[in-house]
Amino acid sequence: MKVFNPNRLLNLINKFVLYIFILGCLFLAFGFYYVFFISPNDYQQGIMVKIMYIHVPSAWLSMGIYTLIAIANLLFLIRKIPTASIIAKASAPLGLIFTLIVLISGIFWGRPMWGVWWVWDARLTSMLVLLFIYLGLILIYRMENGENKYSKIAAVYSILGLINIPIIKFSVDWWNTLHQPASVLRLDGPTIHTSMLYPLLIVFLGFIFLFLYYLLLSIKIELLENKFRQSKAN
Amino acid sequence: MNHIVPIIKRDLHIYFRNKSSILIAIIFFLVVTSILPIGIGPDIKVLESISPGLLWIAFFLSILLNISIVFENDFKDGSLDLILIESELPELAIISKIISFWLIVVLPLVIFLPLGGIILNLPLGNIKQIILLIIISSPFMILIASMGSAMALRVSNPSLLITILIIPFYIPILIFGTLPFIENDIMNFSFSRSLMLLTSASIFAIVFVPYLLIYVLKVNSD
Amino acid sequence: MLMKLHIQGLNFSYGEKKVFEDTNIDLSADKITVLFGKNGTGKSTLLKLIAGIERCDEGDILFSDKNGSIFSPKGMIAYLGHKLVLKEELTVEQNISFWSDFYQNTLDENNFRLLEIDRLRYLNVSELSQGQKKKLAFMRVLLSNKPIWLLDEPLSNLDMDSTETIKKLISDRLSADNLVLVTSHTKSIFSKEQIITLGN
Repeated sequence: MKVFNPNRLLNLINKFVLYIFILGCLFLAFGFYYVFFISPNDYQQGIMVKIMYIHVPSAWLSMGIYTLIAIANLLFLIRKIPTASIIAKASAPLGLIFTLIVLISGIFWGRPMWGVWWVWDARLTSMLVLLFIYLGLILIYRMENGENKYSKIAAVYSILGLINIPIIKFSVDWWNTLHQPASVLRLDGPTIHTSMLYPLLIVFLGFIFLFLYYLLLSIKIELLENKFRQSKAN
Repeated sequence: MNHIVPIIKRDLHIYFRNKSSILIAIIFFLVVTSILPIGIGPDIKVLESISPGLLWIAFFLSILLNISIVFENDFKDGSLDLILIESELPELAIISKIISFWLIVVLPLVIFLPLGGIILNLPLGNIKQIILLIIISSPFMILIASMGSAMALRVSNPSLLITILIIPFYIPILIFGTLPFIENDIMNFSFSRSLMLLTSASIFAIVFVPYLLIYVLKVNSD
Repeated sequence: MLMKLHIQGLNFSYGEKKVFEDTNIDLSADKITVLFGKNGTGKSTLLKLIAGIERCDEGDILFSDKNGSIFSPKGMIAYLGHKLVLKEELTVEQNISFWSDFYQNTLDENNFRLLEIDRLRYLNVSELSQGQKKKLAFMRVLLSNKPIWLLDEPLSNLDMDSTETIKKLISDRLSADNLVLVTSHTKSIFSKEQIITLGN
């Protein structure tokens, strides 16, 4: 797979990273403009509903990034592509940040809505589990001391943790809990109104591009560090 | 097939040489279960309502903080390499290590579980059921914990790291293991459903985890 | 026809340091193979790669039996590395009985006496000297009765008599279906040997 060649990847990154950043900012700017000036307030929650536009895309991203990490690590273990491990390693802290955003924004949204800071229902608990798995994963990656053993161990760990993702997604459907059930990614199509759906998707895209921006920069740093270490040893 | 018994025999010999190591797990468990009621206060009703979870948690911690012994000794003197490369079926050899750990740590703990339950004021009718659930999920717990032990094989103080890595995987077990006994708004989460879920988790673990264990152990061995 | 080992295109790195690059090695069972080289040239690593303890990044390590067909060495290798596989908490006798059960083989008392460790039988391994431990560890290799021996510096830490005894026991092992690979930093140890020098 030629895109995984380190030098080619570095070239690609250098060429496109600025555009990705600009695209991300544009999407976010447009998205938030839409959110604040076009999209209506919820008749019950008032302006607090706008937290959803941060909370939901972050949730999608935290789960999506974890899935990306697991897939990249599978490629690393099975097809032995070292760059895949670098992609996974660089994504992990970013996924952690989005998970934190979900939980914190959820707390600030939930307090006025439900009257409590936290509740131990299926979705919140499994999101917290995702947080712990991210933390464990980052801990393993940090133990790396040059021999590449811990990349493989982290890979196995990330694949084990993959079971948590479907649990998060479907737990709200299996158990009627305080958290609202799915309204966008459903088999019958979204139940949410377009005036809220469109800004949601635009903000989501903005977050994706920003994630890609930071991911590509982290990958670049890692690749350059590897090059440096290799030239030192030889 | 022929490796299982020698390995277990030898491990038991080693642990009995060091008599304190068996006692430590039991004493830790009793200390934790005794300290929790003190922390919760004199209200017996409160203790009773949370006692299932507390029993599970005391059990988890006793396993997680001891699991590093399962491969550590063999790793240090090279016996792990022996098992991995010289046995015809390394998966079975690894399972015998797991069985040794079960006999040395889990079995004594299980014997003291009723005492722990009484300390925590668990209703007597529930004690039997919870103990059954704990026993049934112990293969899963040990296998997953030994994954953590295998991953942290070269770390000098592995127990904390293992605890951090493995607790997320224990959370579903904790949930399934306590739901039948506490008031909750999830209807019909009965004891038999828990039993079924936990049994399938253990079976799943027994079938799949040994291969993963061997992979991680090979990555981590010299 | 003899048992042969054919290594092709071996690539292995320890982290960033490349230890083997496109290395090819051929050896056969009629002579004892001595891997010779200075410290750090990868002798132990090569042994571990052949034993299966380490996995190579690229390349093939192929064993062929005396009929020329390739076989998997799983369960056919006896490896003696720097870690001696001795349980310090147990006695010599207990270690040996474990190995007997593990390998399904009984102890050859002659060899035991030859190595002069039979009188140490009921001592704890922790009470033995380094040389005695080394001899006991070699005892395990004999007990294993495996066709392929991979021994990492088997003669280090031994006095002259023990060195001669073990040299003889290794040489006695030579046959069409037994492969013996030894690492060393001295040459010309055995009468029938082929030397592979690492580190060029």
